[in-house]
Order: sequence, then C-alpha cells, then structure tokens
Amino acid sequence: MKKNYRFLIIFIVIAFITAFKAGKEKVPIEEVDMAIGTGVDLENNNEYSLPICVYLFKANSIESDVKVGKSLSIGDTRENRQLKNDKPFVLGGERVHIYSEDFCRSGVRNDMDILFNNPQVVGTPYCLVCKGKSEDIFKTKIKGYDSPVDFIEGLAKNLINNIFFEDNYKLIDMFAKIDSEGRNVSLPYIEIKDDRIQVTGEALFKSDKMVAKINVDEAKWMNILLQGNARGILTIQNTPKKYVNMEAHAKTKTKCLKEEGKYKFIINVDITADRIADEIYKDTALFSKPDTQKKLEGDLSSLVEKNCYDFIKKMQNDYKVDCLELGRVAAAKYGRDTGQDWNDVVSKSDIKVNVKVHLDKLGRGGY
Amino acid sequence: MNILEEKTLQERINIIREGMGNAQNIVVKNIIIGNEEPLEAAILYVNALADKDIIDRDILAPLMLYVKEDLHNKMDLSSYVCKKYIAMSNTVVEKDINKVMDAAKRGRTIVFLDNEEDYIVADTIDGIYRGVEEPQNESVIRGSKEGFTENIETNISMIRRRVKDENLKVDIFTVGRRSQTDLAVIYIGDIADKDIVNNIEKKIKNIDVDMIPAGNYIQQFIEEKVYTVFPQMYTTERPDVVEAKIMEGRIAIIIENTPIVITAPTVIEEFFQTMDDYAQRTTVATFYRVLRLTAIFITITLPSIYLTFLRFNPELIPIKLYVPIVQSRIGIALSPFLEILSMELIIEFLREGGLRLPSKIAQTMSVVGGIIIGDTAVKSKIVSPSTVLVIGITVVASFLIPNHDMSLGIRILRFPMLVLANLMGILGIGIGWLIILVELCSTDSFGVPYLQFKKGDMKDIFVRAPLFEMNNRPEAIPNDNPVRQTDFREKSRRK
Amino acid sequence: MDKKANNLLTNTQFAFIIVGAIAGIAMLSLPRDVVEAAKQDGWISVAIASIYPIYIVLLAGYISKKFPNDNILAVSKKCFGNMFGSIFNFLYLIQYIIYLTSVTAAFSNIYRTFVVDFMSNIKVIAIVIAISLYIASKNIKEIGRISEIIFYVSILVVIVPVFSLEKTNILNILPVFGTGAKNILKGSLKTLTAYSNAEIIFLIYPFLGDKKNVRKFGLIGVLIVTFIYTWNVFVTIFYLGPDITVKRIWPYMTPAGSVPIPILNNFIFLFMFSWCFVAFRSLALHGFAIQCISSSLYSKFSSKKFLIAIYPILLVITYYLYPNEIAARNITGIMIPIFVIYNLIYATVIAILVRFKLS
Repeated sequence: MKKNYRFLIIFIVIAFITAFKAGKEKVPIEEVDMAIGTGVDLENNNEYSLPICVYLFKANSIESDVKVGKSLSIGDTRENRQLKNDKPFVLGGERVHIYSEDFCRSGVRNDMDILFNNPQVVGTPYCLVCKGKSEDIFKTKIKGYDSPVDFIEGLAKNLINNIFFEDNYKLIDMFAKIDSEGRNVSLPYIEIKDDRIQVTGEALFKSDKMVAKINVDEAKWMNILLQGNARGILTIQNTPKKYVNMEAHAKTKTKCLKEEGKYKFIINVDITADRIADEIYKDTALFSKPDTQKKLEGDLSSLVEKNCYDFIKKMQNDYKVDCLELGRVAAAKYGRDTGQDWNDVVSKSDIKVNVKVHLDKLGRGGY
Repeated sequence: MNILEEKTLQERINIIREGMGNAQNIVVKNIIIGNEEPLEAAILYVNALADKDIIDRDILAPLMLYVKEDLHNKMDLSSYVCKKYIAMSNTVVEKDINKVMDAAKRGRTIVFLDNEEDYIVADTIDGIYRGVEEPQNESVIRGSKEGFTENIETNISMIRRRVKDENLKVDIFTVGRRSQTDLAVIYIGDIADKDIVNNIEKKIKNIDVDMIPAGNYIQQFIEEKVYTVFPQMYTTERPDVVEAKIMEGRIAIIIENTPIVITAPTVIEEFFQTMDDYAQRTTVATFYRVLRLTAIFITITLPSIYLTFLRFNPELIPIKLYVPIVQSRIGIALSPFLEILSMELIIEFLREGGLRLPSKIAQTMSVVGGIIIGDTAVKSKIVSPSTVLVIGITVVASFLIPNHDMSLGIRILRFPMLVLANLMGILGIGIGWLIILVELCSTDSFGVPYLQFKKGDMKDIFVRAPLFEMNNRPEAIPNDNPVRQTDFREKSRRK
Repeated sequence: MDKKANNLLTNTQFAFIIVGAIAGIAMLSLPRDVVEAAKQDGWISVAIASIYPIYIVLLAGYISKKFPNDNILAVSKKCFGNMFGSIFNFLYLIQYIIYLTSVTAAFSNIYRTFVVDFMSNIKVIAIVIAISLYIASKNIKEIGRISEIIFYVSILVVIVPVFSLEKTNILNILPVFGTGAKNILKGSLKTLTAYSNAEIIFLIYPFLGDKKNVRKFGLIGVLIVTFIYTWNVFVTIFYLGPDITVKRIWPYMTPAGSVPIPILNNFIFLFMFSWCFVAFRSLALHGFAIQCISSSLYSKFSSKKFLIAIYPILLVITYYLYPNEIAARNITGIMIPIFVIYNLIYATVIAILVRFKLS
C-alpha cells in the first residue's frame, strides 16, 4: 500500500503543477519581437515617444522595422506600442540605446529608472545621444546592413581605440556614473550628416541632464584627460603640408591635493606614441641628430598640454561641469558624502596637467 | 546404512536416475571388470554434457580391458580403482548421493562398483560452448581481445591466469531451484573487506527463485535500491577489467551460462572509465576523460537548456545566434516542447530498433532513419534545423558513456529534465539536477556510498594521473591493504 | 573507509553543513543593507560581524565536550526540566519555521523577478518547500554528502565575480575606514541577520564522528562563510561603488551577471542555475532542523510523517506572511534580531548552567 501512496502523491503534485495556469503566458521565440535597439524621444516637452527597432524575419531575408509607442509616461508607451503590434515585446537583447538631445536636456532619470528596474535589461547596450529624433535614426536605411542598429553598434564599438574613447558608455556605466559621487556621464553624439550617420562630438551631462555638446576636437582632449587608457591620433601641424601624425596611447593618472581649503588636481598624462607620418622631422634628422627626438617629444607634449589647458579653461568657465571625474578622486581621498557639489568645486579649483611623451614605434621608414 | 549396503548395483543406478528426473539422455553402461572373477560395474553419464571420447578412452578402456587382477576383496576398492585403473586426471570418491547427482548433471561420469557404497566421480565435462571471442559490446583499442564465455570454468580460469596470487579466493554457490545455476564469487582474500564479502554471500544464499537465465538477474536480486536508474553493480564482459577491479578490493560474481561478470561494490566514477584510459598516455587519457564528463552533462541538459532559451528566456541567447535560430523557426508547425520531444522519441526509436535488427537491415535503417527522416522532417517544416542539430549533438554525446547500463540510465534522465524545463524554465533544470544529485547521494552500493570524492582518489576521477603515481588503492572501496605500488621509478632515475 | 554507522559525519561534511546553513539566500541582498549603513567600508563590517557565529561555535564546542551525544534539545531538558525545556525547544522550532519560510519567500521573489516571471508565487513556493522537505527527510549522512557536493558547486557562484573585476575601480573602495567606526558597527549589526543560522551546530554536533573536532571544524565552517560574505560585499562595492549598491535590491547580481562569457548573453543564467543549489541546501538544512526538533518534542511522530503534515502549514505561512519582498524584509528585519538575541542568551545560559550545575 505504501508504494501506491507514493505514486498517488507524485501524481497529485504533477497535476497541481500543470493544472493551474497562473502567471504570464509565455510564447515561443519566433512569436516574440525582441528589441534590438531602443530610443527615447521627447516631444513638446511632455510626450514621450519610444521607438523600438526590431527584426522582421522572412523566410530568406531579414528586414528591420521601427515600432513607436507614445504616451505621457515611459511605462505607458509599452501599452500604446502594443496596440499597434501583433507580437509581444521582449527587452534584453538590445544593442544600442539612443537618446534624443531634447530628452537629454530635460533629464534622463525617468528612463534610467525604468531600465534599471527591469531585470531583463543587462546593461550591455551602447548609449548614444542623437540630434533630432532617434526615430529618424532608426528609420534610416543603410546599404549592406539589415538594420541601422548593426551599423550604429559597430560605430560605437569602434570609437574605442580611435578617438581616445574608452569602453565606458554602455548602459551599465551610465547607471554607475549618474549618481556616483564625483562622476558625470559623457556620451558620444551622433547625427545624420550627408546622408550618413556620424559621430560628431560628445555630450556632457551634469547629473542626469545634458548641458553641453562638445565637438570632436575638444572631445579628443577631454578623453585624453578623462580616460585612464586610450588610443587615438595626435597631429602636430604648422602648415597644410608640414605635419606629423602620431598614433598615441595615453595613460592618465590623477592626483588630488587640498591646500588651504582649496582643491588642487594634478593630472599626469603618459603618452606612448607611434609615428604614422612625418613631414617635419624626417628620418634622417631623427636618426642622426639625437635631440630631434627630444624636440619631437617636446613639441607633442606641449601641443597636448596647450590643448588640454584650453579645454580645461573652457570646462571651468563655460560648461562648469566636472566631466573629468576629478571629484571622484577627491572624494576617495578626502571623504565621501560631505555634501559638496563637485562640479562647483572643480570649476573653481586649480588643475595642472603634466604630459610626458615617449616615442615607441617608427613604422617602416619615412619617405 | 545397512539398507544401502544391501542395494544392488541396479538399484543404486535407479535411485540416481530417478533423482535426476529419469531424463532421456542419461546413459548407463554396465561393464564387467576383471578376467577371472568378474566384478560388476556401471557408468552413468548425461549425453552431450560429458565427453564421450574421454569416457571411452580413459574410463571404459582401462576398466574393461586392462584389469588383470582380482578386485573382489580389496579394501577401499573405489579409491584403488581410481588410483590404478581410471587413467584420468580428476577423479573423486563421493559418498553423498546429492553431490553425486549434482556432479552427474554437470557432465561428470559416475562409476558404480558392485558391493561398494561410494561412487567414483570422474570429471568428463565437455559440451559445445562458444569459444573465447572479442566482447561485442565493450571493445577497446589497446587491450586484450578476450571476453568471457558462458562456461563458468573457462571464465574462472581466465581470471586465474591473470591473478596468480595465492590469496585469490573462489567460492562456489548454486542458485536457482530448478536451474541450479553455478555461481562463483571471486575476491582477493587479503584485500577485499570481509564484511562486504559476507554481506554479498549471504544475499546470494538467500536467493530463492526458479531460474537465473541472465547474469543481471542476480544484480537485480541483490541490489538495494531498485527504482533508481543508476546501476549499483558494474557489469562487464572483459577479464582485464575484472582483474583490475578485484585488485582494488571489489568482489566479482561469475554466473554460469552468461558471459557477464558483475562486480560490487561500485562507485559512480567507475562507469565513466574505460580500459583504454589506462592504456594510453597520461595527457591523452586526461583529455578524453574530461571530454567524457562534459558529454554526460550535455546529454542530460542540452535539450532542456535549448528549450528554456526558446520558450522562456529569449533575451539570454547571444545576439549572433538569435537571428539564425529565429529565422529557422519561422513557420514551424509544432511548439518547441513538442518538437524536441518528438525528435527525441524518433531517435530513441531508431536506436532501440537498431539494436536487434539483423545487420543487413540495420544499414538500411540507419540511412532511412538518420538521413531521410531528419532531412525530410526539416524540409516539411515539422521541426527546425537547429533543433535537429541540438538533438544530434545530444545523441552523439550519449555515445561517449562506456558502460551500457549507465548510458541507458542517463539517456532516460533526459526526458524528465525536459518536462521540468518546460514547466519551470531554468528553475526546472536546477531542480532536476538537484534531484539527481540527491538520488546519487542517497544511493549506497552494499554499504559503500555511491558518490564519493575522496582526496586520494582525485588522481583518477577527472584526470588520469600517471600510473606510477597511483600508489594506493582507491579509498572509496573499503579494503584491508592500501598499498599497491611503491615508488619504483626513483630507483631507476639517473642520479 | 566509510563503514561507520549511517549517522556519522566526517569532519569536512560537518564544516560544510555549517557553511550551508549560514550562507543561504542572504548573500544576494546583504550588500545593500550593509552599504546603507557603512558605505564603502561595508566589507569590514561583515568581517567584524562574524564574531557572532564564532561565539556560537565556541559555545557549542564547550557544550559538546560535556554532553557529546546529546544535542541541545536534550541538554535543555536536562537543564530546565522537562516542561521548560520543551517550551524553549518549541521556540527554537518557531525560529526555524520562520527561517525556512523567509528563505523560501526570498527565493521565490528572486527567481520570479529574474528568470521565471511566468510562474505565480504559490507555485514556486509549493515546489520549493516540497523539494526541500524531501531532501530534509533523509539521513544526516546523506545530507552531509549533499552539502559537501553542493559546496563545490557553489564555489562557482562565489568565484565568478572575479572575472568581472576589470570593470572595477579601486576608487570605489577608498577611503578605507572613511565612514568611521560607529557606522561600521552599525553595518555589523545589520549583517548579524545574515549570519543568523549558526545555531544548527547545536543540533548536529552529536552526529559528528570525531567528537573532538566540533570546535575546530565548526570554526573552519564559520571562517569559510565569513570569507564568502566578505568577498561578496567587497566585490559588489568594488564594482558598483557605494552609491549604486544601495539602489539595487539584490546588488550581488550585478557583478555576477556581467561576467563576459563567450556563449551566453549574460551570466545570469548559469548563476541562477548554481544559486538554486545553494538555496536548496540551506532550505533542506532548515527542514532537517525542524524535523530534528519536532522529533524530540513529540517522539511518537515519525519524522517523515511530520514533514508531510507540516508541509501545508509552511505553505500557508509563506504565502500569507510574505506577499512580496517588502513584507519579507520587514518581517525578517524585526524577527531575526529577536532570534539572534534569544539565541545568544539561551546558549550562554545553557553553557553557564552546564558548567556549574551539571559538570
């Protein structure tokens, strides 16, 4: 009899598990729309419009489609979008997250909140700011790509190692940076120019609102100062024909001192440069006269210093944002949660930049 | 006793004949021994179990032709006849009529001498048995190609050839009321643990059934946990495997009429080791062992993981796989669970059917089954190509498990795991593995825990350490004599 | 040589049982509570708070020396007489019921948030409690083996965040000791609830084969748990920084989930899979404790029938008492400090009585 009871219990348990249908219905994967790119737009300062880019699968080809939901709050746009769509949405696979500039200027906190709360969102999409509406970016057709999202993802990925960007503008980094003490967000800025999507600068945020857009030239110097480990190209150019291109690898360390209640920051930039093209100091000079190398290095370092100081001045006077995360270093040394506004403090403090350049590889030989 | 003495020769023969059921192939030949004062005698044997050549040449010929003396009043006539006239190597004088009947049933010849109350039992066992061949279900690349046969004496001799230690003990039992099958329990006396030996022998003595047609019946009779899928005794057809196992303190059970030898106690690591591992080099063997362990995990879990991805958690699929999988699933008729289940069942049909087909049909079946069904199932949009791929990988992985019983058990585990994954997603897979672990942990094989990871044994579980480092017997099996090797390489190292 | 009686544990199994009982579901939410009080020095608070389980282990070692074969229930009956002893044991039982139900509720919430959001609360709770009671109904020897094996699986869970270290930043930890001793101690108080199940050692020390080793291996178990927790909180702060850690309800998921691995999109899948084992191990140990205590209270009951009888009670308690994570944390936040104080006083009183009255 005991054995019969055992099977009876197992049967009851299994019946219980399968019988009650509670909870959300789950559909299999081919009937689900997985978002590959999401965007946030703000219209008329009060209506949120969230386009989502998905794949349309046909038997032999893939296309991309944009589905938009509009409502007065971000969560409600899901319902609005679902009214126009035949498949349920699933987040978690998106690769690109694009904000429109208007939305950024009014504060991204709402979007951060809903994304942060969603357990399926992992934090790997790249975040970018776009000019105009992200919906337009998603609707652009790019030759050779199923969907603009693939293109933009590649675009964002390859900023690294090219303009002194470092890989910290993913969603997870945004989460970490927005509210951390002494840190501020800076995202690449894209726009549609000449019928192509291009990166035209960097967007600077103060807490969760965007305050400035800097163009690519300034972004370069900011990134050299900000990132700890970045690569890009530096050019010394006097005339259109005479210039030196160096591929540089910049490592930065920041120190903080406090003197008489005022903060002083010392940024040490250590650049290892590879020569790409050289019209000023030719090979003959470099190899024969020993101090040509020193001159090259000295020129390069003074170029970097000058530009960095220019940028810092602009940062302290115009933008008034601690986009170099100096506040973080200060908080680490002198205590957190002291209630100071680091943006303010950094704008008033004394920043010094020391640049050291080493020449590493010379390439095959100059012409 | 007086009664027995008075029996005539004929009566004695009849008693034995009836005790053996008066079978038709019992042959009795009456002979006369001696020239001057003839002595009546008779021999009894079972046709086709006894070797007639030996009987004719070594028993009948000397007794009938070469006895030239008077045997009537000799003392101890039976032993005298054995020693002088029966020119055979194995003769015994028996008094117990039951033992005599047992011996006759096994092919020995009984010699009855008139006026004697004991019997001469001569070993003339023969019969046509299958010869020693390569075992078909367990082949290795580098190892002996001998396999056990159905003849228990041959099997025991194969082991004796390999273990010439004087402590090798062979205990013989008879099991089965009507079949009276012989059973030999073999172990090395100073290594194996006495409690376990006694336990097993007691259980064997308590078996009370009609017949033992296959060796695995014994396994099921004396195992403790009957409903689990994991076998608690190891079966093999190879004598070199048995040799290795006895040396580690295990006990081997050889059963007559089966080429299968069972060893006990077992721990789970044994089921994933083959003789080839030890015949190859260390690095190579380690790699293949790790591969085998991965294959086990894949066999049980891969379809369930795939199902979970498809059904519940599409956001976990890596991006580059997402597009191909979804594209291949457009327009598929079945839901993922049914799709996977149906393909699994078809593969099981193919495998189970192919086991017993004659070899000519088996080839056709593999073409039809594997290629045609698989291909057309995909083309007719019943299943998707990625599902077929996943199932194929699982099936191939299940071929890596060396032991047949264990591989059957593990294959079965796939199905409940699939059902659990369908109900509960990842939680189901976790619960499934947990239940498997709990079952393994609570299984004992004759008092020895099934799942063990002793520190000293680590050399042989996930990796295969060089042979000269395995100095102690594995600690998992209780034994009395832990050292099996010494560090002999040190002696031959150059200074 | 495992021929010993079926009821004895080896030394390592003993240590792993203690690890299993303490390191349960609290690991995931621990960083949040601690960092709220102690900011970036949370990991120091965690290390300090291990004094509580060490104290319990030392007490257990002492009591086991005097009464090597009686667990604390029998000892308390000897100390306080049958009636009072039984009342105290009953309070013990309530404690374990609350542990079991709160861990089940937390487990259900975590899994339903992250991976199985299509299941309803009652289903998950029913299955979880059923399985943990099934495991709890086995012999102590089997539970010891299971704990040992699950420990090796759970190392995966603990070691994994190492691979996400590249996203960490030393600045998140500095300044060390910056928050001041008072806050660090406040953080320690909050982590006491996470260490709160060391008392299982009182119930299982009679099962240890080698009775002299209660203290040594108990301490080894506690040290392993301390290391795991400290490492856990340290990595979380290292990765997220103290400001963000308090925003997540289960902060440990973030460094664990962002480990880059080649095949899967994120690591959460594997993490959830291995976490399941850890959670069930601790649930099974709670269940075992319930069975142990109840079998000493009502010796007429066979323990397995009792487990079947208590299953619906546990189900009802979990479902109604912990409808969501907030209620769960409120209740545990109130009750567990009470239990901690009760255990401290109870164990100390028994130790004193053992020393003076009965030695």
